[in-house]
Amino acid sequence: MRARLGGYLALQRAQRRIDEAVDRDETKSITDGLYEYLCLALPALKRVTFDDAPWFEVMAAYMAVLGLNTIPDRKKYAILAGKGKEKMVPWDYPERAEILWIHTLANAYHWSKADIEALWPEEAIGYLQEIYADEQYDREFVYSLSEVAYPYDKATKKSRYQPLERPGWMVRILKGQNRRTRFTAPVPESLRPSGHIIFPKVESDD
Amino acid sequence: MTEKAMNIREAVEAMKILAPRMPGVAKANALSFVRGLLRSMAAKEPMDALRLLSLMRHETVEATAVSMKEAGTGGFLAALFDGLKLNRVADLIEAAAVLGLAPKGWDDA
Repeated sequence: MRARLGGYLALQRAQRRIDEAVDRDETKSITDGLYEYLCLALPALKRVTFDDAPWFEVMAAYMAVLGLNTIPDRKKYAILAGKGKEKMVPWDYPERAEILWIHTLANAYHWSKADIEALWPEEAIGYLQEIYADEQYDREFVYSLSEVAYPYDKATKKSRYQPLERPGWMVRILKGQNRRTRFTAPVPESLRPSGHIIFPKVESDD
Repeated sequence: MTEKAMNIREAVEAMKILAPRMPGVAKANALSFVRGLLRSMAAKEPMDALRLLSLMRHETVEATAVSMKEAGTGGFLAALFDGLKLNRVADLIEAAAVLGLAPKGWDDA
């Protein structure tokens, strides 16, 4: 049976152990990772059975679980289209990726851990994408209010709005999609500032 | 000795031996690939071939070397070929690609 988010994250963790073992070229760790992965789908699987089984049966089971738990239409989620690994932080630990999913969703929607783990993985990805997009819009709004968003151009002798850079997945145009243009709400003439804009002087604390 | 298929630990070791020799091989030509592979391994890297056979026979490299001493090159190649028939080389390569041990699986013929 296909795993919900809780099971999916556990499978991802086991998969990461397999990938790391492959990178290190450690046969024992690869087989340990495979056993951990299969145990999540088949909790009754004994280590002796796993060790004695013909390799093609083990691989067939692994590929079946892997196929079953692949996110359908993965390409339609822009956030998954990114390449490369996430930035490491000093407070990183092996399970942090899974905790981060729960933390981000709980923080935004105030759902319980059990509720979040019962989501379908693709559902959770959709929510996460919206959360990250909202956070970016908030950052852009705050940034647009600050002086640094309007650097002075000596050539034109004017300050010009420099938009905050968006993460790659928010600007990337996926194949087959229409070109996305940045939405700008028209501001009525009467509401636009007129005359010279004088920025308030910031006084230093000391 | 090769009646029983390899277990997963042995198979992963076998995948590591086979994977670097794979790029650009079409699945339709699997048989000729195996023949070429065995010939080139026996000629250039006999230790790899011996290790592969020992994995398929579930024994140490030394034990395989002793038992193959009498068999000669023909017998050695036949044993390897039998082993790779039971532990299908096409599936081994595909599994290596899935695990990330090989950069890619078979090319489409």
